[in-house]
Amino acid sequence: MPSASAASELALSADSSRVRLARLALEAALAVPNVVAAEAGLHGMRVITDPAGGVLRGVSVTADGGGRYAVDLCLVACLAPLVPLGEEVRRRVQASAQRNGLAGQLSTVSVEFARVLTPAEVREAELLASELAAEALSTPVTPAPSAGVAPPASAGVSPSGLASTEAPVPRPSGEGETGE
Amino acid sequence: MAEQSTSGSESAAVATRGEGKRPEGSGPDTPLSSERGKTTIADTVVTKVASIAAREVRGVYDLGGSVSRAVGSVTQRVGIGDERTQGLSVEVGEREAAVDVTVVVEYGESIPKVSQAIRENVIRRIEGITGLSVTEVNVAVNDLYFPGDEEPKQPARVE
Repeated sequence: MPSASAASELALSADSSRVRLARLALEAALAVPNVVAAEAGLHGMRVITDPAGGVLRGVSVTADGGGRYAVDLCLVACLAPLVPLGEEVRRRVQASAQRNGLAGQLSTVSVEFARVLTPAEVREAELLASELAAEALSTPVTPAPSAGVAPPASAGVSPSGLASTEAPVPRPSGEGETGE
Repeated sequence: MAEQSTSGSESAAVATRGEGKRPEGSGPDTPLSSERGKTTIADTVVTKVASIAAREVRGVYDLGGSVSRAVGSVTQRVGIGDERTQGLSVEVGEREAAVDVTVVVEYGESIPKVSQAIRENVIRRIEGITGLSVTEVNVAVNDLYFPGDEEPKQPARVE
């Protein structure tokens, strides 16, 4: 059972700039058109524990000196020009940081494209995601896991159409249509 | 069938891209790297783009040597393989990439023309999509495909 001091530490870390930056960077990146998902990348390095909601998969935030943080994103994208896409992701992350008063703490935003999906694969992934969502809704509610335990990874879709062990975070529906 | 390599020997564009120069590391100012951060392209992305680009060329029947196609067929059946990676080997730096591709060409097509078309299309697609500069595309023609060579489909064991 966590002590009171551990609980307060947890609350503090939930609001830390690092976690807030990670959260907003991931949200901003996934809202960019042609970005399909985020994934943990090689060796599962790009994962951050978010005390508020399990894990943030596809982003890492590291101290860069002077109270600033470097953000690394690992993304899955559609088959589209990736350099402008990376620039757009960077621009949106910086704009989001600006809006949330974290611009002074953001140093660089590095974007890695781990995979690209063809339009057919994107459709397949969306179909699978909707099936999984429907399945999750029809499953009876079970007791929530204890605090600090990451929820099971949602099944991602590999290019071969199989569930991958490194599950990408599907983009929330309805996002990515509006510019910032 | 003997493998015919057509590495960098057919045009000026090819000659500048096929003289054994492999990808370099990072440099100061590139579209992929700036003081605001860098964009990294994984090997798998370049492999997939190269595979799609090579398959787009008329006269290319399949990618990969006989062994890799046989192994690929098995791995795909058990669900662990991706046909798009067979017959391709890429080397990716921070700014440049080099590609080796093994293909099966349809009988009757001009191998030099098909090789040249593969090279041009792979370079165009990779540079257009990833922003990496392609230093070389080596094409190895591993086999010829004759129409009617396909294995007859096995009849279903159950109805």
